[in-house]
Amino acid sequence: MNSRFVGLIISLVLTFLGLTIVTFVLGRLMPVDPVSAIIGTRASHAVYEAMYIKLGLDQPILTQYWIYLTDVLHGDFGKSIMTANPVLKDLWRFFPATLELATLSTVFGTLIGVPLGVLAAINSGRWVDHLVRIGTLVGYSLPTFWLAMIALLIFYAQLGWTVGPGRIDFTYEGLVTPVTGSIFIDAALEGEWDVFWNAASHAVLPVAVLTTYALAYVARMTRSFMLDQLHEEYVLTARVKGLKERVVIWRHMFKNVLIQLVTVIGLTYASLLEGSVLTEIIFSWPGIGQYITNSLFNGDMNAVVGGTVVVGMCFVGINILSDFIYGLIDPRVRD
Amino acid sequence: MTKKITRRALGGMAVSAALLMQVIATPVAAETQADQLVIAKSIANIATLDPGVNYEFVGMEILNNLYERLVMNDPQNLSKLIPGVSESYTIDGKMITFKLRDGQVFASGNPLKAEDVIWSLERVLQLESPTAFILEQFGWSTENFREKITAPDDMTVTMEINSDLGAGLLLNVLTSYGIVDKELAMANEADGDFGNNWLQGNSAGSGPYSLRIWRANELIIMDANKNYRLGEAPMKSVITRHMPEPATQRLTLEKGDIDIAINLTGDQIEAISDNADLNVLTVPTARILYLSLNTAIEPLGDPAVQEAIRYLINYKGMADSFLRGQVEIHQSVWPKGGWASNEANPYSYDVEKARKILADAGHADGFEMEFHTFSDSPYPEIAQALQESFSQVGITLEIITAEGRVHWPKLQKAGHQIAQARWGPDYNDPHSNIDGFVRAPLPREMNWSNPELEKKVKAAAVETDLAVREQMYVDLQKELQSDTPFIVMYQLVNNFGMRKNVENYINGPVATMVYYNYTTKK
Repeated sequence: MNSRFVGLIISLVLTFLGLTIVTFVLGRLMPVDPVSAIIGTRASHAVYEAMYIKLGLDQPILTQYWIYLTDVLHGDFGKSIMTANPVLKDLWRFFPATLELATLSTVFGTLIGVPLGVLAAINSGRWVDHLVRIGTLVGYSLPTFWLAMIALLIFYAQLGWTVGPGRIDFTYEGLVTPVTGSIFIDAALEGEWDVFWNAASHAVLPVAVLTTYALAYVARMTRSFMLDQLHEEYVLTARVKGLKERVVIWRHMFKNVLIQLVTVIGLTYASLLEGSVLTEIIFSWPGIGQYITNSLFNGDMNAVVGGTVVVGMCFVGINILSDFIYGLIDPRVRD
Repeated sequence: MTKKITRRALGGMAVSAALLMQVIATPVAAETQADQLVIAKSIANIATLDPGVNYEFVGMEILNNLYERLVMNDPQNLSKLIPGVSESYTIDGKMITFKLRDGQVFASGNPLKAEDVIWSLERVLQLESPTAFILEQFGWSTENFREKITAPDDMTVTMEINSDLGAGLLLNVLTSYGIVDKELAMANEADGDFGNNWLQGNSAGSGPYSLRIWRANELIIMDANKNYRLGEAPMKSVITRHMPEPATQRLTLEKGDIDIAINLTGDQIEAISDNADLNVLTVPTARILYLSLNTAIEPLGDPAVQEAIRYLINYKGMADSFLRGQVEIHQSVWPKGGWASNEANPYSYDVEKARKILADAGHADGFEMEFHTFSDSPYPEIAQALQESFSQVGITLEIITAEGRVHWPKLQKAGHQIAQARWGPDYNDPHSNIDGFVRAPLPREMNWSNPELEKKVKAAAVETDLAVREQMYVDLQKELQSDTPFIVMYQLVNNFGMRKNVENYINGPVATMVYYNYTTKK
């Protein structure tokens, strides 16, 4: 156990270092002038030089990285050029917005996708299977940008079934003190249920769009895993022994695909946490995808590196969680 | 058995979905409130709302409503200057004396005094702001500022110009600098920053609005200033929503969830033209599109080649097709619609004329050249159109696109051959653009200079007779339309979609001409 823990720590540290080094170096190599991004393009040479030195750009790149790393380890990710805020403050605001969408989409995608995948597998070759296969293929293949636009056009603009873009109505702005950064949790903590439900209504369409992608992937993989199990001898044995079909499916077959499913769901969650920037743009959702993308376009490397570190560490965290869940599912993995 | 499981599962899903929709979905509340103006635009470029530091246009529009200036553009006649926080001013050679209004207060309730005016401008230099160079051209520095800008009393500010430039130019420059409540800003100062950190997200002005919320890349909410000298604005709050996608802006405009959509494209404007609930407001901006020729790359330094290129641009063809609604043909460095503009467009698309000019200059076989442009639409489309028309005389263009932050440094370092570029004035005076193209910074990008023209630009800047100065600028613009390595093609146009009940929304060509406080709703 101790060696596993040590291995985990080493893995975390190496991942963190790798992330920061690669992103930092790439940022410095990019043909974007961070000085002009701050002072504009008309500043005098003296002002340019002063800012160049202030940003530490006159130092060797290893020195720059070392300074940055020591600052980060003290919780200082630097300041964003775009927002003029500390990057950590920005991340605290933008990341929960993406976390909300990613979490809800993964949960709904799993709750719907897994049963659909199982249904398709046990009805292999029948109309249910064909429907699920075609539906999930379409759902997985459709460009998210297009789907988001169509969803907004149909359900918001034409049918009026949902509210428009944005995270919350203006009327509710500032009513809830941001504690966790998640409007749902913060509103619930303060008992502001009007705010909660308004935020929920705004999340419906973007979550539905991202759920389509998550659901399609999870359903297809579930179907595939279950089909592999269908032809196993233990399934025949269980049926011959007279077990009810639902017991055969859920208590025996499904248990054997759980580990694979956890991997698939973990990967889906991680990819959604990157921030689906196109969905965020369409729905004017202030998430980390837009934040990192805008930062990149503006040469705001502090923000890009900070955002990349957060997303990267989420990947690592999800992998660790997946490993832990494997151990819960299958005691042999623990050993 | 399997069928039973299947039926149950599908039935369960259908019921769950229906329940979920009932619980979550709410009917859309169309139409914004009667005293609330909701604007949708991309605010991704706003980095600060400190009026002494901001240098980009989107932020400037907001600041124009949070802070008053000494003088301002008349909302009813944008080409005219009228007093702002000053009640009147007098010009005596290089000296301008401003009389402030008695009893004027900031939104905080603090009285607006001469020291606030002086401090607001001084901090621009002390902070080494990106806009400091504009004040420095008047011979001011942190060392001499308090000698040259003085307050004989609390209601009077005198400014002595310490360079060749004239008072007329200074007045136009001052429309760009908001007056800050020194007492409030300094109460929130940290580490000698003159309130910069606090002002990035808060306001301390006397304008028609004060800032309630600014969330970068998300939202700006401003509330009407009850202390505003012209009275509280009809729109009690102005909400600017960050909505980067024009299609989303259009949908929310049609639904009535916003009042004004700023970034609609030409085809979207056409699509909403027949909508009985909407109006389209077309406003020429002060930004121009031009080609920058790096004269260090042969044969771009040849005036004949420069002339030929002027005839190879299908101005009307592009403007009538994929650029429809986004540009107006304009071939001068100072945009039309303002004081001293030159509206002559002497060039048209003439391949045969270009061919003859090139042949006479010894370039009958054409040449190859890189064409650098922005990656966002419609610039690649413009590049492709030019590639086609240039090819007719044997000039082969290799199109290289890049995002703005990569494209601009390339130009600044003269790393381009032919490049598409944009330019907008730093302040509302033709000197801003003309000086930029003739003296600095653009000539350096093109490896070009013309000392004779520089003298003429300087002469116009120091001219005190307004009528003479105006004519000098018009003549200069005509002169700059030939034998120069910059070829102005278009003036950019903004098209705003608005709800029909929105009236009196004032949006001039420059950011300092955007006024929310006159807007009403029927």
